[in-house]
Amino acid sequence: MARKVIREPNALYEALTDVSLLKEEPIFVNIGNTRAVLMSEARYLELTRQQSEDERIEEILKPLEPEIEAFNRLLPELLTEHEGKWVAIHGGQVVAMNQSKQEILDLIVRERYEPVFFHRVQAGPRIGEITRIEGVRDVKV
Amino acid sequence: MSKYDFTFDPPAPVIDVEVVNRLTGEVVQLRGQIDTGSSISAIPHSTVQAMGLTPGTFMDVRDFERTVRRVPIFVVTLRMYSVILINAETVGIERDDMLIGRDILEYFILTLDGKRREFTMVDS
Repeated sequence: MARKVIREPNALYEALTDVSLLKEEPIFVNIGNTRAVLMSEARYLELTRQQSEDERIEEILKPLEPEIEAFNRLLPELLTEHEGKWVAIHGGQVVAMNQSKQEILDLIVRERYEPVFFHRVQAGPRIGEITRIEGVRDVKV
Repeated sequence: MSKYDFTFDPPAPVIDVEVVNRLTGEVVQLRGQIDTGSSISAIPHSTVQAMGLTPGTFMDVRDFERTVRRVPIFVVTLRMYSVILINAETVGIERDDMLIGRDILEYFILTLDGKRREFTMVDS
């Protein structure tokens, strides 16, 4: 592992702004009595064995994968006659369909479907707005 | 009238919210910041994990920079001001408190008095 020592930099920020230094990571930085390490996020995750946000979300959505795949498979057919309705997918099949999202969600709880995927029958994705997306765990679009 | 929360800078309208797991009935109490810029509400990831919530669907959300991300949606029951909102869709967010978006605010009459740092939120 290559080791670079930057002696008493004027400010840690100077080291941070020189991105080229990161090509030879990790970089050890001495600031007074404090010692810091600069490294890429990938290296950090590797060292700490933390899951990336994408991996975490993929794990969260994993139980729904078969139902999402079923929805995507059935969508062209659903669009021909049921566009705008809400559907619940369980066991790879449509188990409920209704104009009302509330009705679908009530039924999901009543019937204890698990896992279950619900979505509006529409060609594009559902779009929402949020002011602070930086804190939202995401999956790749 | 309720006072703004002065732990925010500038001070912000914040309410008490109870988040209920629809399957288990488990309740978590949170503070919820009013956020008219969000179309959907958000609950802390710590709450999602503590309540064992599982996603029911996903949504593509975009911020003011038009960055788009696909996020899982968790359906919960919310209680606030004696109003019970069954089947509220929420996203998980890296915060200690909730964001109360327009999907919830549409059920209330919200009046903000910025000069007095006061607000009212009533259901009728």
